[in-house]
Amino acid sequence: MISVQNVTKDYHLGKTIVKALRGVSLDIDNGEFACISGPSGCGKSTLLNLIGCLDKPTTGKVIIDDEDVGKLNANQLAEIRNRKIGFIFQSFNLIPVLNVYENIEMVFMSWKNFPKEEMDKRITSLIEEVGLKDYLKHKPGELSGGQMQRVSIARALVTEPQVVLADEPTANLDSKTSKIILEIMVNLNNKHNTTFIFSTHDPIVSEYAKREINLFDGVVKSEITEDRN
Amino acid sequence: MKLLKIAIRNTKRNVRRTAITILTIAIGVFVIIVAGGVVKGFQKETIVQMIETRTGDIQIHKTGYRETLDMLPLDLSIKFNDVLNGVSGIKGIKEITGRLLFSGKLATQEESAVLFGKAIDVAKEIAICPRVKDNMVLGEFLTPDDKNKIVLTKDSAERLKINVGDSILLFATSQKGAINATELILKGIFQSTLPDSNKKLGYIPLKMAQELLLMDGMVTEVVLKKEKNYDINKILGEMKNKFSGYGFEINTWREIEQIIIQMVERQGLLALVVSVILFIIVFSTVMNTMLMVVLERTREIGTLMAIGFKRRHILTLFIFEGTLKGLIGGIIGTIFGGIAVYIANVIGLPLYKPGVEGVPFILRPEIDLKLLVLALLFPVVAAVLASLYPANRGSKMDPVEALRSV
Repeated sequence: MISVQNVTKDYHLGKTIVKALRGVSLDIDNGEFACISGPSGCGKSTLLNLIGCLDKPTTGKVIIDDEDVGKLNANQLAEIRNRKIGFIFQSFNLIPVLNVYENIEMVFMSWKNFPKEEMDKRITSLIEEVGLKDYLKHKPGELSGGQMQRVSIARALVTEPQVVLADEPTANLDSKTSKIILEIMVNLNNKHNTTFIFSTHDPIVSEYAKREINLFDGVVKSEITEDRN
Repeated sequence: MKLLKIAIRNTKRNVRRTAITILTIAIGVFVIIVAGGVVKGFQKETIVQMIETRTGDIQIHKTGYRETLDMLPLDLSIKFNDVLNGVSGIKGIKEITGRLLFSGKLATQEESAVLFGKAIDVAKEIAICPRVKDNMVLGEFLTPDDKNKIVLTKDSAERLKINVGDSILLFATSQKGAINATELILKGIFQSTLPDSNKKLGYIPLKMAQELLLMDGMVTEVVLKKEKNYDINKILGEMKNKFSGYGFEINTWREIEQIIIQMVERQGLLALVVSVILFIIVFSTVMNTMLMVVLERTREIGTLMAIGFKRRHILTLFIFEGTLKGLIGGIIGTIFGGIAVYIANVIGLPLYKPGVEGVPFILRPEIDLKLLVLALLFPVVAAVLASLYPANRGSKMDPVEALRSV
């Protein structure tokens, strides 16, 4: 379970302090398929960065599995990101020199003594699930945007994390590909019971979420929970 | 997935930049090896030249002779047969000869000049110092059958205004003060490669000098050549034991020509200076490249951090990348440098000694294995050090900031 407790986040731009989050509280249960929506600059990415242990809050707490991540050092945060969190980026962020298989494999960099067979099984199974079985040896430059985002999804899920965070995962994709990507995410959420939290400012995309948290000017403006199944 | 594998792939990303970096490193290493090879070849040539022209391997003098060498004293002389008998049981001596160094005056009807005379047993002298006849510019060097012949420096010949085949009178004073004279024929003229009194040097047969100076069987200097694979210090030690109580000074070439040895060692500094300059060039090239690489891959660093790469992973990745470039450049530079030195060694580079016209010597640059290993390590060390700062900068990036980078 992820708990965000009265979190604020300030950024210093020269002498100006930008208040990106002004006291956000929310709990996200395991297996949720949640969306953080809102206009640009409302604090969606900042909130995802805090939940993703990429950043620390100015005040308040982010608790993942009963652990206050604000008290952890850089290496401990890296460990949590590696074991418990998967990331899907708007620009896919694949490593161009590595092929599809290797891009997913490198998440296991610090997994000492993890059986090679198990790793291989997980990677190939996920590649199949996202429909890239025939693209195993392809480099990102040889893939379309949608294919790259599928690799990104497989990379995010390969460690079997508790939560997958996706910052505007469809922003760089056309509507048809966006739909495919969101359906893949929904299916994986159903199949693996992995929590998905994604951000979007697109109302069509947010409709896929079972829970929508709407942010405005750094505060939660509204929350909609519905069973869309 | 191993970091090294990623680092290897990364080096291929910007082929042109990687090639320029590697080329710079390779050129640096090449220059170090060639400069080192030339310096070593020059050092060796200088020493061999010295041994095979003047000093031989070991010299024996009466104690105190070397301190008063400028006066060429005849009273500090040695009975050559004493030395010959003394060394008979010592192994490793290939040849031994005596020299009689004396001062005299050369005169024609119109001109005169001071002579720094070196009377030699021609056959044995050539066996020990074969290069003694290398600097001839006119006529020929002495042969064992020569009796009243002399070989002079170009300076002396010019001063006396004489040519090969001309007669000349030699005046010399014996140790008891008698002034004797003899007529000599100028057989050859050579270029002296050394300054000062060496410009007044002249070679005459030993027997003739001994008769002139009334010093039958006596010499002022004994010179030895050792067998090739014998340890000079072992021979020296045995000789010192054998001749203890004789009042002799026994020295190796290294002790006799200390100034030249120091000069030769200073040439090594030149190679060191070249190496330091190239180290700085290689260092700054790699650092510049790696700083650009880190800057370009800021978002990639952010991604790696997001998926759980730790600081040490990022650090290692960039150090690997810099080191790889250093290693590849080092290997290329070492191979080409080694080949260049080898070819130059086989062909030989004809050079002219400063101030000596028409007498070339062949410089053969030497491959120094120690230098090859150092030259290979040098860019690697430079690359590791140069990568540290950019790698550290990359590893300390804030993941959020890094991900935001375009």
